[in-house]
Amino acid sequence: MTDTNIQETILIVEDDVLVRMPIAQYLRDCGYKVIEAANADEAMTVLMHKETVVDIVFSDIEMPGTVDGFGLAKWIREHRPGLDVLLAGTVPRAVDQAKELCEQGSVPKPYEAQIVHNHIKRLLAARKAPKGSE
Amino acid sequence: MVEATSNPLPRYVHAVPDTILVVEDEVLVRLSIADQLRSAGYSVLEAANADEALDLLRDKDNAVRLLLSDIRMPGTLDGVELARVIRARHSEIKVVLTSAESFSGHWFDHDGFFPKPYDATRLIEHIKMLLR
Repeated sequence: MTDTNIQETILIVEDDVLVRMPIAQYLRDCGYKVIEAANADEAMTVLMHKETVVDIVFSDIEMPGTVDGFGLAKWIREHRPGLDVLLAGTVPRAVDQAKELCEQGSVPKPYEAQIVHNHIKRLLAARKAPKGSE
Repeated sequence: MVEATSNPLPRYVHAVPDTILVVEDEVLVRLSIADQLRSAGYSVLEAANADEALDLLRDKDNAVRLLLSDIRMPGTLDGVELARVIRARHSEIKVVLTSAESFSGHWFDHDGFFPKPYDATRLIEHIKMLLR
């Protein structure tokens, strides 16, 4: 479980392919397995697929379609409790709201890939830490 | 392995993996074939529809060598229309199409057609042959 050689999987949910592709490639270069979803529906399809393991969801907040990033985070709380969600958004109010919804935090857009990576590393480290420790 | 003496220029061809653009609106199909292509050593760009594919192709740095596209997709263009646009704008890019339905397109629209469900091993062998 704490074996650092296990490749962790990040599910990226972002409707703008020109934002999604660079962050996905960056995280792959960092050694993660990355699954790309173009919207919340695709993300939910991946998360309902039992054979596909996901360690962290990194989702845009503002997305077209019936479910935005907040809706996806709520759905994950209900259907995949314990799965960490990191949200990213351009609207300051939305980012503040994300902080309330997701104790895992949020990232203002436009973001630097390194900052996203640091957030993800922290979340993964917290998952591996023994219960009761920070 | 090419002898250095047989070609005075450095050969970096194999240092950078060829890039394949996968266009598929079914996320589980897309992630499965993208995974298998990456395992085969390719760099893979993923697009959920033709519009995303064209956005990615606008960036010449992406250096796409082959398009692997589903035919039936939502959006402004289906896979065949996307293939024709790419044939017109990027004639150097190979095109392989897939579909769950029969396909009666012209041979010049593509460099291979694989009916779904396809055998990923055979598909990747075909891609290797095209990119050789």
